[in-house]
Amino acid sequence: MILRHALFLALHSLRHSWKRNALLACVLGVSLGLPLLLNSMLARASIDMRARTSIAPLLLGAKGSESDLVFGAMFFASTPPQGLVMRDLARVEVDNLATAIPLVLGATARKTHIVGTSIDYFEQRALVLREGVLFALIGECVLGADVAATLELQLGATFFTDPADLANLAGVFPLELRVCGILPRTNSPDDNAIFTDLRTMWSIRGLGHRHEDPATSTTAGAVIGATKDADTSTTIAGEALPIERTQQSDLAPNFHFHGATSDFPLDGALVFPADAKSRALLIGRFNGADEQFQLIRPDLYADRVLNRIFGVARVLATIAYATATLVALVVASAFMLSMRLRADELALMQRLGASRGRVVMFVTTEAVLLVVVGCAGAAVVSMCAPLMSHWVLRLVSGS
Amino acid sequence: MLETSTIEFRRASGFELRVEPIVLREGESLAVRGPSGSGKSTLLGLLCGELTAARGAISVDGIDLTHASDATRRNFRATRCGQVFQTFELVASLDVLANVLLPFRLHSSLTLNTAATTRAHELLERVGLRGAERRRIHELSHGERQRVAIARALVNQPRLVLADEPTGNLDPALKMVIAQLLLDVTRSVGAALIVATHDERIVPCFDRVIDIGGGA
Repeated sequence: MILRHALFLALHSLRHSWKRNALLACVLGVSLGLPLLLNSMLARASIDMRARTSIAPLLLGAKGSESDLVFGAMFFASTPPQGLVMRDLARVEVDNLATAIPLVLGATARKTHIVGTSIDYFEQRALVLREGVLFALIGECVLGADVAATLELQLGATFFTDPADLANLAGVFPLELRVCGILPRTNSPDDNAIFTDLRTMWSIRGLGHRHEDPATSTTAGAVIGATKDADTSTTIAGEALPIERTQQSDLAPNFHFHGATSDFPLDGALVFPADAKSRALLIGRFNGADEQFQLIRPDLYADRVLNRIFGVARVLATIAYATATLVALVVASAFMLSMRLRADELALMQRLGASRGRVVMFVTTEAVLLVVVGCAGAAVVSMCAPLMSHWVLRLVSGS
Repeated sequence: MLETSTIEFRRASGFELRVEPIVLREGESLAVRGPSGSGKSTLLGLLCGELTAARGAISVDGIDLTHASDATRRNFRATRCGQVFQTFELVASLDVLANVLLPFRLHSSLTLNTAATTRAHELLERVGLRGAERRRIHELSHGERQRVAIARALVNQPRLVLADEPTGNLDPALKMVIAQLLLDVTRSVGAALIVATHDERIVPCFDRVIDIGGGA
């Protein structure tokens, strides 16, 4: 009963000066919430990063930035060092030491990263499609759960890849992709990627294309020259045409790649050693000073990055906690000042028969309510951690 | 109902108060007259148990306030005493009805129930504030605020009502109205009323008058 009266008086008092009290609660909430957010955000980012870097024991790529390789090949967030080609995979697959899953990156569709890989990627990740089937033809793709939701694409839907440079005709070709499968949510970068076959990615890069039949073509630019006299008639096929102009079923007859597939570029490869010994052997093989490639352990890389981040975060958290303490003191001072301004009201309560203890309880209840509201605000702020951890990973990866 | 011997009170500042014996029965009213600083408020403080006399005895309804514990005095103020102040002393964060019912939230001897709420409504009607239950204090005129204070002073069915300059903050036209209202309502509930005032115009309204002329 006493508590009911205390709550009644406290709520009315807080409501009476709601602007001031809302400000105090907000200040309290933000100041308490920020350190919580920082800790929670980093913890979440740490979990996400460790989870992602554990999808493959080893990562193969061209020599260069280790972080570009990890964040490119595992988070699809940056461009890995260039120089790896298909035949280089044999170096890790020789003697059955490991299985390699190739990755080709660097293209986007509706500003979403496209990942070219083999179907082994899904087997190794134990990813079972939510609906549809894995890609089999050039131009087919599997969508991550978030991509499907964000772009509102369903099975059978078609869309075009983004041209990298509209003025560069020899550059990335817009390619019409058709959705053949959709992944379930995995809470990983897979959710935000479009997966397709390696050949599709090479086609986007312009390594595979088709020509129209010069004799029947009506497409501008498809025929660059023709001579005709009494005996002969010659027509010269024109520019390579992006696949976007054809239907999927038309790809096979006139579609081709130039050069050997073994020379086609890769951006990295996830490497799965047969056992620990194989892993050790493989790492040793790529340790040479004149080595053109790097074979790294993503988990150790994540440890190094996270240690660095957490070192900085500890300093920031200390500052944030100190700030929160100061702010809490300021809020407490403001609250005490407001109580002084209400000294007459508190004195009245005693004159009407309230004990000092009961008056203290009334004041305490009001303060507790204010702190509870502040803490609720802090909880709301700290609940942004999942969103922010995603942002941290993006910041670290540079995507 | 109220019976005192000669009361003496001293403050550390040197202020001294000496009041001759007072006897007051149910329904009677008493005006305590004197200039500012003469000790009128101090006397009311002694009679409600907020202050303790250095010498003399104060008995209300058989309760010896002079020798009572703090808890007994608080209980007395909450259950048997109603108070009206010059500056109204209403709680700005509460509406009219909640202000009238405030004593029920301050002491466990009083139970806030339907009867108490009904009584609060009746008192508000009697002081002319029917329909104003949900109005905020800042929306009221000074006269209305003092009416709310009078209703609050009587809501706990007190045996003794103490009013300290109840007309001090009111317009001249309102002074008599409020003083008469205070007298009427107090009499109607059978309580004794003591009013401290230096306003000569309202003094004749009361059954008896004592003068306090002393001071520091």
